[in-house]
Amino acid sequence: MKKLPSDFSDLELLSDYWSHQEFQDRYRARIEAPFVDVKAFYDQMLPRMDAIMTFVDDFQVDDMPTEVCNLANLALAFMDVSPAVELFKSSAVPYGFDWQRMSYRDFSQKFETQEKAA
Amino acid sequence: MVNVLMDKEKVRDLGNAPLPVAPYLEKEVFDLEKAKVFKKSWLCVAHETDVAAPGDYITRDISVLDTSIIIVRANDGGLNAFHNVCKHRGHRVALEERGNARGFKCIFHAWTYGIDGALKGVPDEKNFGTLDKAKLGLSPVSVDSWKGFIFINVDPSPRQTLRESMGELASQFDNFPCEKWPAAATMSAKLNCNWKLVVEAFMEAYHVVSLHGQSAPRVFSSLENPFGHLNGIRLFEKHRAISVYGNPQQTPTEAVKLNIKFASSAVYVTADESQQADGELAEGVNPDRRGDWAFDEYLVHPNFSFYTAYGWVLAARYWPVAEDRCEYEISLHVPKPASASERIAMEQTLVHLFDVVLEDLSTVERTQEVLKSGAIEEFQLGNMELALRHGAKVIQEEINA
Repeated sequence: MKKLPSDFSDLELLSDYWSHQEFQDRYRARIEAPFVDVKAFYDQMLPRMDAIMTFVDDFQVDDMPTEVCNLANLALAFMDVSPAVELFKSSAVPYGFDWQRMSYRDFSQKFETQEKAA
Repeated sequence: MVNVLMDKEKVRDLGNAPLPVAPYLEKEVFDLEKAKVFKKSWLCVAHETDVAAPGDYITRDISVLDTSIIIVRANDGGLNAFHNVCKHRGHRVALEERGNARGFKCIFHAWTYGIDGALKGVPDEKNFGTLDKAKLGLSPVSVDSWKGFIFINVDPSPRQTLRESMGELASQFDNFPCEKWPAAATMSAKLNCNWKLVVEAFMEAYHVVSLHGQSAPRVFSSLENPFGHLNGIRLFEKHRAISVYGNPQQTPTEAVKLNIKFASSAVYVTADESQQADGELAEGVNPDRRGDWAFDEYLVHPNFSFYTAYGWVLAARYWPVAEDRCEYEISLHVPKPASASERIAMEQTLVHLFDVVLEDLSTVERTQEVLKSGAIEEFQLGNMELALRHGAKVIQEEINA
């Protein structure tokens, strides 16, 4: 089944691993992926980010078609891997505090779909 | 408020002796800090947006105060705070972390209280003989707010009002619009170290060139300012502030460029007044009015950090638990994203903050573990770490008082 809007079918194969609603799941995906995979994801997403961010603004944050919601969460995942690629050259923060000991509470509006799962 | 870096005499007044290590290790010191500092001070525990509507409440367990606190929005829009302790036999009357309630019912024996704290109902009341219910309301705790942040004080008769305690610092933010900015996210951790190590890890910028060399390369330093010297240090009676240098020639990353293009919350971007969401520029934000500026951090004594820039605020709290344990929490407050792209842009700010905090918190436990060795008895402080010296002095004065 198609995961992303057809304008972004080139990113289709990234969705399953990287697109998650919760920060912890996106961050875990970054930490658990080998750095070459994180870098490959970043490299494929970067030239498409401008188009994604423009595209998603045609929709309400809390009432998106499922494919748009997946795409918006994929864009969040791009941001979440960006320090790993642009700054650390490593999936995790070198010598950093154990991220799993950090509790993270997201109070902002999540990307949501009102469509029923098939 | 004078920038002490411009005032050699002020710097001299603070002395130059190293700081003793003992107050980071000893239970006796922790007990004194608890009794004479924390139980006597105004402490930031929440934000107005946590309790927006009448009946909205939150509870907070605060071990350094030996209590749980309920903060509730009154029907008249004011704030009430109580010890979360039933007047019958001391059980907590509210068990949820947050909610909306018309009153509180202790599940132990079902005594009920209004959101004003008044005791309303006692099952089988006659069995108690004469019970003066009017005197058995929940024990009140002093509560007030400043710029959207809610403070409590468990001292039954606080020495000062919140405003008096904030002193000169308060008025420097009179026209700063941050009370409208809800928390976008809160990050927190339980740490095996003394709380002061955490406060101090964030209260100087001497560490950024080394510790944040990867996460913020040449952001808080430059060829002209290779060690990231602060723009300013300001000492209030009990509070203090640092104004952090920002390199105007820094190169934004691709993610930061997207953040800047699509939203206004790009944290760590050097002075750009267009980021000011609305209102006039507050006196306390970039007080030196320099173009090479990143952000300010105000430490409101004893344990609340209020970081300011034009379009965002970071609020951090440091909660002692024992002499070698504490809890740290930090929230980003920004105007609510107005669109999906603004929300995506904000994620860059949030994840960068998360990663930088992972770097900052990495040092504190590694320090605490080996301080016990006795290998060093004092910390050496440079002039760019003067705020630490001031903090230690203020705490010592309160302990001695």
